[in-house]
Amino acid sequence: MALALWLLPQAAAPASGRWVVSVASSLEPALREAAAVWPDAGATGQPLLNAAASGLLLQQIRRGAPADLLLAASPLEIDRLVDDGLADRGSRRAIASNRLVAVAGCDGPTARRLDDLPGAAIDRIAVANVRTAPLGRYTRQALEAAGLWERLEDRLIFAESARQALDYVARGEAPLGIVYRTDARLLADRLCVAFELPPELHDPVVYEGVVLRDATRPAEARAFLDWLTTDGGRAVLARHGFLPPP
Amino acid sequence: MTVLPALRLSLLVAFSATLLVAAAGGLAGWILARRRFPGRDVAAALLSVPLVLPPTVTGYYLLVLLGRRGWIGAPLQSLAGWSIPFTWAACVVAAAVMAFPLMMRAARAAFEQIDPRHELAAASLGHGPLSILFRVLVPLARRGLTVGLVLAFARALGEFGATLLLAGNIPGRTQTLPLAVYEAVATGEDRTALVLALCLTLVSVAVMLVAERLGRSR
Repeated sequence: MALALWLLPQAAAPASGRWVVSVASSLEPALREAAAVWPDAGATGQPLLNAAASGLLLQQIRRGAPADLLLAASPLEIDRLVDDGLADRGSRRAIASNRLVAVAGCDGPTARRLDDLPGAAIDRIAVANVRTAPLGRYTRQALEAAGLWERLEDRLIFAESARQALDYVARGEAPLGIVYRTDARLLADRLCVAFELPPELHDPVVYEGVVLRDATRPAEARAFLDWLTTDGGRAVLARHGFLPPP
Repeated sequence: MTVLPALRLSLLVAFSATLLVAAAGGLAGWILARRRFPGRDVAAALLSVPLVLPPTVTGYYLLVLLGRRGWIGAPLQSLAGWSIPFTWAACVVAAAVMAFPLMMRAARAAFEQIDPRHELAAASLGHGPLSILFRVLVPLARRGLTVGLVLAFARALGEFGATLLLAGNIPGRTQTLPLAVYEAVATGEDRTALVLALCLTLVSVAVMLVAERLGRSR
């Protein structure tokens, strides 16, 4: 009986009126803080966060998953939703940008730049899924632009998200991984940044947000998104290592 | 696109895992059915646990155990220079661990149904334990053992969670059919997802039909 009472609110949760932000997993830690310090949070309630690779979020929304706001790690996902009429074009905002870095354990030999990778004693490189995670797409662009994709392909281990790629490096399964600069900070006590990838080798990493057509609380979603572009919102994102949008 | 490599890998993994499980699961089932030893129930429960544990938990344990810093993985890496995770061997290990309990339980049930007097008679004719196992017990239990094999094969073919954690999702290397379905759905390729899903469903229905037939005509 006590168990049933404890479980019931969980079952009833979707109807309780909290609104949902679908957020790129790399942005989630920063957004959790942003949602908590957002000045309107007291009046309108904090949103629920649904974190996954941006490509996954896009498919969820296309299939009718309830969400008010999408914050994706690339403009491409937003383009698709706007083109399909699933998002409110006018609400679209760029909120942050990011860089790609190679992380590795802090001891032992490692590569100092991209061109070192083929020759270095690095038998596995953890990267994000190139088809669902924008990070994977950027990584592929950078390695292809550097002429390294085919030479390194056999060593690549695809993780479902940047966080998992990071975890593979932290566990020692892969000596090196390519992740966002902000991800690398999460495990700064165990992993070191070996080098930054030259940003001109890939599309700019721009985080964009858009209010969704089927939003149940579009006003709150829009207010929150707009707040993320103000000094207050920018400050939270900057604390987590995100750069201002271009 | 990735359909054919995934199908080929899936079949290779399922057959290899079934082969491993046939030996290990059959042996474990025989020991549980015919040997009395302290902690037998605990052993049976522990070996069956992958049946009910979330596959991601099993996968996590396997990664911790077989990873480059794991209890088994670290010595394997330093002695043989060999590492299991993220290779097709990892798919086999994950599938075998998940399928093992099905074979073990089927084998145990099949062996327990055999009248022990068959073994006594064989022993009195001078057969040793191994000879009895292969010449008396296995032939008598073959129906139950086959059901176990068929179910283990189906389970190995459908393994997803433990595989994703231990082997990753690498197209052409560790992306089995279930992982390909997941990725097709995740990237909005509904047609590919449907084709792959139908493939898996067909094989699974065929397998269950075989198991049903064998189970009934006992």
